[in-house]
Amino acid sequence: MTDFLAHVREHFPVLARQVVGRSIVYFDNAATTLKPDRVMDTVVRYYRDNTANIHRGKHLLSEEVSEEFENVRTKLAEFLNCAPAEVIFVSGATHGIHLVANGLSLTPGDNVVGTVLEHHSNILPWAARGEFRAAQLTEAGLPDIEDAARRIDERTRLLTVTACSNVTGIHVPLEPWVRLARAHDIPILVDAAQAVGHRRTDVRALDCDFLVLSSHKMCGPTGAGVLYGKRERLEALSVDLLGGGTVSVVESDFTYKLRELPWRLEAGTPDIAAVLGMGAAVDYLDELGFEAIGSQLAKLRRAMLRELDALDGFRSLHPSTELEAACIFSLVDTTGTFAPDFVSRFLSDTYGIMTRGGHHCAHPLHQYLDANGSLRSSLYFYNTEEEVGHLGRALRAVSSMRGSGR
Amino acid sequence: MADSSPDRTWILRTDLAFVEVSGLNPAKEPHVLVRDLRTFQQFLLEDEEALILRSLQLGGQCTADTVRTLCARTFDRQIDLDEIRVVLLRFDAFGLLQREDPVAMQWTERRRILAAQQLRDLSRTVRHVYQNIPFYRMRSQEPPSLESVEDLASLPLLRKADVRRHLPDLLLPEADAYRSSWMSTSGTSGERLQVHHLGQYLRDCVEKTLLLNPTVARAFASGSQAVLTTPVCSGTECHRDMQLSYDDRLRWGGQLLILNSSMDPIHFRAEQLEEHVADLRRHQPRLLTCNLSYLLGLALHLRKTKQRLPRIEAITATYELPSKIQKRIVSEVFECPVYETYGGTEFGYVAIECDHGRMHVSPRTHVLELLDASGAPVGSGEVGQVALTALSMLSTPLLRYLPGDFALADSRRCECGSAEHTFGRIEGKTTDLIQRTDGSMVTPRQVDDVVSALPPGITWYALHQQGEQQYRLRFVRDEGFREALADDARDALLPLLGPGAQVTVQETEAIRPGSSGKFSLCSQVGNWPKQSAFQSQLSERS
Repeated sequence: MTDFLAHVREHFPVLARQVVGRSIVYFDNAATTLKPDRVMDTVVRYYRDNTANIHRGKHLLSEEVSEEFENVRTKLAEFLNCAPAEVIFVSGATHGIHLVANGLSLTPGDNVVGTVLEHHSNILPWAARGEFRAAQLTEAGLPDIEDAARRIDERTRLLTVTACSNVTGIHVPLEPWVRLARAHDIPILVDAAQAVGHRRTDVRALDCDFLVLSSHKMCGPTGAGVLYGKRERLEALSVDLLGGGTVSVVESDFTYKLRELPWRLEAGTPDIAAVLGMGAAVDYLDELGFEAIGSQLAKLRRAMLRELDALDGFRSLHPSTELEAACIFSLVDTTGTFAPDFVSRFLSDTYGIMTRGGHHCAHPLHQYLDANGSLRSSLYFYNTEEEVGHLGRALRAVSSMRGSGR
Repeated sequence: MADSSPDRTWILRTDLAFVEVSGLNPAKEPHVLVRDLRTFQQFLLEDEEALILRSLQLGGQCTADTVRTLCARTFDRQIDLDEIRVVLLRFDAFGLLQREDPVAMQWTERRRILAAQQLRDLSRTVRHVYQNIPFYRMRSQEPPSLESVEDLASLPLLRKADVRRHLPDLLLPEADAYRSSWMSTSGTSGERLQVHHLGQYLRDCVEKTLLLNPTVARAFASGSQAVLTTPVCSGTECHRDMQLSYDDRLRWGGQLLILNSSMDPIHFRAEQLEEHVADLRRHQPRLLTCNLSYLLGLALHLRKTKQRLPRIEAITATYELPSKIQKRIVSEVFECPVYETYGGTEFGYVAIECDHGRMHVSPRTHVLELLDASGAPVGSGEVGQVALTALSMLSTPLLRYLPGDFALADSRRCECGSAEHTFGRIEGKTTDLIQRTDGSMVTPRQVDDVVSALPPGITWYALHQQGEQQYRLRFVRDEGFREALADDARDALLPLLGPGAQVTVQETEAIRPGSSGKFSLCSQVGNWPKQSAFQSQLSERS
């Protein structure tokens, strides 16, 4: 175990939990990552020492927590390289996409062009309001940008693309997609839920119009996330979720005046503890450094690919090594013997390995890949090569349970 | 010893009823269901047994050799003469043949023969397990010798945790050479499992168990059946948690209909209940298998809307411990008897209730032991933890497996006349036990004895223990509810729970089932120091 790992694993107490006599192996990070001590401490400290609502009182506790809350906004702005007013706190990426989908006021006949790689959360908000058009994949597994270009027409209101597939793990090179949006004078939204915890994200350099992320996929608590938007794009969104905090005044005839960004898009009391926890998670990732995180993930990817090479009876949906990808590996049983749910339960209950079986909220992608669900192992920087080896042994046991290896 | 000389002639009794059930299971034809009209015993004969019976029907008065000739000529099957003699002796033992003594074989003799047969099956299973299953082969090179079924006690107990942890070593190598399937339990006990079954193992257990009850056997043999269970259970066993069309819910060649279900039977929507009514009118099942807490929703709807369904001959209540209150309401509304069964996804059906309220264990499929905290057998009239040995579960064998259930031992001869091993009743799951104020154990069934004896006015209920002396009974009201019922319930529960017990009674509309969708009559809730001495001692022994 490297110093880096010895250091970080101590921060995640759940890794010491024993299942079937072994420490658990947590390989379900694409669903949600584990939370380090400091994030949990931040959440608990808010409830224990500092419970108050934000922006609504002048008492000490409220002032303190309001300041801390807004400091997190600044922190996220630094993290993404944008202005604080462009950071909208949401409950997660799904909420952020919905804010944009509502705000664009799509009408029947409008369409949004995306890719077949998308998570349901980046399909359904568009499909429910207009037409969602999905670019197919190239042979290498990247979304086909030329196909996307062909699908854009005069009724296209937005281009959207995932930065990282939650099924195949592929990192999509985003710059060409931004150029495509510019060429057609339409905004582009990047779903960065799977990407931001794995590599540095710079929205200014990327020049995207919107970007969404979820705190819980980057060591933060559930219930918090960010919608980033260029100020002019955010200001152009219609606001249909109104309430406390979104308006500066309500007149006696009930007309109202919206507040400035970001508050006009943050109706009601937010999940304050989760936002504070997200700030602690960002601090934590910054301290570790994305270079060290990336180096560890690259090592894990190589180890995982070695294990998969030695495995019979499974088809991997992970891209080839020439392409950049996160440590997300989805497998399909080519013999049809085992459903992904079964293998996931077996790995959990017999080997203590937490994976995920199913469609991972990506039915269209699985249909496209001719897979009736898959078994997904998704790794993060606190995982180890030893754990990858343990998974390899467990998967070989699954193979042997087909009768092929005993 | 019965006469098995070559010249002996064998004649079937004339007062037997035969039901052809070969269509039920095309993969295993032929099947014949024989019903003894004197004792109301049922026998399901398969394959060679069925052919030999049919030959006897054709030949009338036959020697074993005549039977062999008839099997060859009529059915094109060569059956060894010794095998025919064994089967004929078995027919004789079960009283299916005419004898000089016209009185049916005595109970004790039938019991002896069943025990001998079970020992033979058990020995074969244990031999197979110790020879072929790595988990057991690593423990001993030689299979333990069994002189009696009771010698099973020399084998180690098997916990759910053992099955999960050692699953690869508990599998029959190359079991995929056979038709097989993986089964996942719903995890009601808090400990889920996945096991491997060969062929139609579960189906075979269902048949062999249901046939122990004449009324259920008749309904089952008619071939038309419906099931109403939880959507979670349906997800792992029968169909996914989604509303499927009528045709998509038919199984077994159209004979079994799964009714659409959802998680909250207390609040089944009227449209959903009317869909159940329409389904049952269309399918016309003779046998209805259910979680009684789910069927209760439909029963109350039928009662309220004054509807009657086509006649159902029997209802089997399975998957969860039913309340006698629900049993009574459902039986009244559907105008048929409700029988409890005992089984589990991982080991199949084990036992069924008879008309005298006793549970009969299927002798060809399982041996059931009831053990005290030290692992010793409990005496008749005592409550013990269930340990099951599956006799034909060969690919993931379960020997002395602890499913986490408690049952009341009752080895007295049952008034129904059947000779199988019996127990009194299932008492509940380990996870559903509560404690008296003195720390001793109270089973859900003991609670139900008290609550179901109250005047009418309750449908669903749950008793939660919230502390060492704090209990809360929550119930959903039924027609005829009187305000005094709450006080009556509290007064009735106090003697059961012990001195110092504080019981609150609360009417509610929301009793939440567990994550598997099954209801528990009792549970311990909240954060207080709970004891489970019984469970821990037995687990340590395994």
